[in-house]
Amino acid sequence: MKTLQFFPGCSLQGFNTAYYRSAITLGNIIGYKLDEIDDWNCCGATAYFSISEERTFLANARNLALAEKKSKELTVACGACFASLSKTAKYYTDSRKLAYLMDNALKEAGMVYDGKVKVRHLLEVVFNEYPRGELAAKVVRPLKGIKMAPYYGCMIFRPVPAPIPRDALEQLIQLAGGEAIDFTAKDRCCGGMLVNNRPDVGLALVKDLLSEAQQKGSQLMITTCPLCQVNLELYQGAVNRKYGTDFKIPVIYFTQMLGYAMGASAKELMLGSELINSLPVLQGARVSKN
Amino acid sequence: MKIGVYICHCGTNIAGVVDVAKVVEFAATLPNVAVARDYKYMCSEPGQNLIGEDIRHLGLDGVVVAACSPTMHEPTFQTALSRAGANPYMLQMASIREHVSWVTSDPVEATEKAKKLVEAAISRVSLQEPLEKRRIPVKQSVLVVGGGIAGIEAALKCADAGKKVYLVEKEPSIGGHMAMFDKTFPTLDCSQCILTPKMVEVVRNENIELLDYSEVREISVHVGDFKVSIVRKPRYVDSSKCTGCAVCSTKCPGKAPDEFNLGMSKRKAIYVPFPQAVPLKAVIDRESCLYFQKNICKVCVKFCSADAIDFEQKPEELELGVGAVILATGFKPFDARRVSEYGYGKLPNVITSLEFERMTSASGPTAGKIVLKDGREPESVAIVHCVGSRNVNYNVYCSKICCMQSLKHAHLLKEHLPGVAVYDFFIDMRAAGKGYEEFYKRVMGEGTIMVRGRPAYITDVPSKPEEKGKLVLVAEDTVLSTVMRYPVDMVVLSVGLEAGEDAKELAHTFTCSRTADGFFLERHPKLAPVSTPTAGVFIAGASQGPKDIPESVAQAGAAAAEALAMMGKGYFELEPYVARIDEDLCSGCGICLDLCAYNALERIPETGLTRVVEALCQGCGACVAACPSNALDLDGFKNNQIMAELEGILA
Repeated sequence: MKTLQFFPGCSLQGFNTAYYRSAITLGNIIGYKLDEIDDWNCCGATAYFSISEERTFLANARNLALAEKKSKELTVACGACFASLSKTAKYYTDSRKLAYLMDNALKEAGMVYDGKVKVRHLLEVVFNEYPRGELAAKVVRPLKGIKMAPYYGCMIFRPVPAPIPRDALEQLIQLAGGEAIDFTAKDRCCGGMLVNNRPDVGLALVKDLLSEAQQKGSQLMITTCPLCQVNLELYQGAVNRKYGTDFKIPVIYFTQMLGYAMGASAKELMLGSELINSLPVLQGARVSKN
Repeated sequence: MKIGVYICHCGTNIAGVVDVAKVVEFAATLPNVAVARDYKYMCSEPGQNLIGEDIRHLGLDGVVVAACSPTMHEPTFQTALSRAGANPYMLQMASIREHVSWVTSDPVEATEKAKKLVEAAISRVSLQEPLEKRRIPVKQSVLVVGGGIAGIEAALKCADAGKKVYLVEKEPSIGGHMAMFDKTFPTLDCSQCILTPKMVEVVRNENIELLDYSEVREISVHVGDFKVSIVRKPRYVDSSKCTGCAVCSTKCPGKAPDEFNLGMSKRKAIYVPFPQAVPLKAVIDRESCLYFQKNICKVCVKFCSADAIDFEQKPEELELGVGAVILATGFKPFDARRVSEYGYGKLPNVITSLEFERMTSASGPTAGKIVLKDGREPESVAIVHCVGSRNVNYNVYCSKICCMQSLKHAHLLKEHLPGVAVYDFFIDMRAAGKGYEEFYKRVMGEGTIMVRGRPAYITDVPSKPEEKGKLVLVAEDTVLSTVMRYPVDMVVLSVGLEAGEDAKELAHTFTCSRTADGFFLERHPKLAPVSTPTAGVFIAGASQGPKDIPESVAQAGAAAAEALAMMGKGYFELEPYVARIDEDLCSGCGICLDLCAYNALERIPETGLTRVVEALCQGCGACVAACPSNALDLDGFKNNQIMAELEGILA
């Protein structure tokens, strides 16, 4: 059992507990334990970032300093947290000016950061740390015949790309017995906060993603980021009203998808708690002949 | 010991900050100094004569010039010493321009620092010893690696000058990328028509030995006499018998993707790479040959009237000795799959610029027709610049040729399909070159729509009825500051140029360096653009960095001229800075052996001690610094000389 020092971020604790719960459940099956860092703070992904990027770095310097006390690695499941934290870690080593500001801010709090923390996304950890054959062997409930849209969101590859191939999620979907559509929009923007403050732009982006998924026959969308999940699911109604479309696609996390295929119960994965219930789709998987 | 000290004003470069008179006054008081003078420009003819006359009249045996950096004018003053009959290595320069006047603003401090450096030079020069340059004879033959346009040009130039040339090409035919192009910008010459006469000349020229389908395996770098080992891959066809009639190919049942057409068509297992191939000889690809895979068939043997098929051929090893090497190993097109947003490899009508070249070529897979995968003619085509270039995620550099290549494609589209709509997406239009801007104007006049903006993504998912069945490019038109959607039938990705796949290996083999982006590194970006740090190894063409055909040809000529100049002189002069070993002190620990980047140190089998191979030593001093028993020393940079210099500074 690997221990992963974990930064949940606000989404996983509030709105998107299903992601956290399913990540824990998946870990119990494939062999990791999430060890949440003590006293972490906001990653600044949405609010500060757009006002003062510098403050985002300072806030994250504290998170990195906390992480460094225990381990050289910090695993993150949220795309936005991943982007903020990995950017901070990179800039700390690349920019003398930012490192200086971070060091000074930490000093006031009586803390130090040595620049040694590697920030990892949970998808990357699952993909790189566990041989595919081993994972496939754990699949007891193959998701046969279910077409899924692999959606990474924009931040897992930007600006610091997670070291995974651009079809890592597709490979995991196939390994779970499902079928991944060729989703050209897979790393495009989900609209982020724009669905609130610029709905004309934000909803259009959500619509583009949903319409490609629908046109290519997806029954499920698989995400790696809580913000994407919310935008894609919660705003389907708003998109339908605005554009006269008829989207009704369940959106779940890759941890839920893998966990379900590996035999975890819907309850352990909090499946069925979505606004658009995914269970009818998951339960409709063709039963394997052999 | 009589030392002359000369302080240069360098106009006001030095004298504007350093009090030159004071430095002269100070120098005159130091031991062994027979004369100290200053002059406005020491490097000028009268300045040099000043030194010469003092050497003759005062019998100086050491000279200190305090002026610019030695990298600038050391050779100038060494020559001045030689002309006056002194040994050129009895010179020491003090850099009071780069190290003092240019970086110190306070005149008092600057003058003090200049004095220290002059004192250091004086104390060093009194311990210097006369040295002689080493002369190494240069073999009168050249190895050219790579048979693209740059390699061909370099080989022809050297051969025309009467030198023996070995041209090594790893593919079955020479011609490189240029043979694959349809037209060349901006003159629209037929690429093959201007290239093939040169290719044919390569085989006709009796000074050139073409080693096709061969690779350099190893080279031992002895300046003036490189020992090269080359492997000739088996063609399984006897080249001396094959007439290139290609009857074998028409009868052969084995098929494989045609490399020359980038896999857009099939070729046979026995094939002539393309109709103008040089040498015009067949080759068998083991992977798709039924005989090699299943031990059946042998149809080619039956139909070959020249009896040239030879399944028993083995790789052949050749050993050559050459005086100079020209590396012209070319580039690799950027793999467009890496930009996943553009869907290359997934969206069928997204193609690369090189594929477009083959498509427009009359000998290409579509016989010169521009068609979609379903055979229809496109009504609208988008061309995207900077794919893989000018992008922090792939390559930061500009690939230089893509703007012009894209414009050429826009022109060819309008020429082949008069009604077609062409959208050209660029970031900046870089049409710098003779006749290039004019060509850009011409293409604009032909009705190509120029869009300033890099597409964000390409998708086949329509959002409006008129986008059905189209490829949609989503891009910000940065002139209008608006995100636009452009539905088209075909997209041509103008892919950038990257260092060749084997550049790393080649750089290792030939002991030359590469820049961070993988291209071969020249010795000096401005003043030695085709030389490498390894004497006798030159570079040409796109292996040094992205460049177009005219530039590659010019650079090939320059590399040939460098190689010819070296051979014409007949010998190679090496600086006399050579490491020496005191055998009484050497313990044979061997620490120095691994440190030497030039393989200039070897173990003496009988004694187990180490010896310096003078011809290989470049005088870098790495071994000297590492020797734990102080057995090594470097002529011209002896430990006591360096210590004396330091003492001068610290005095």
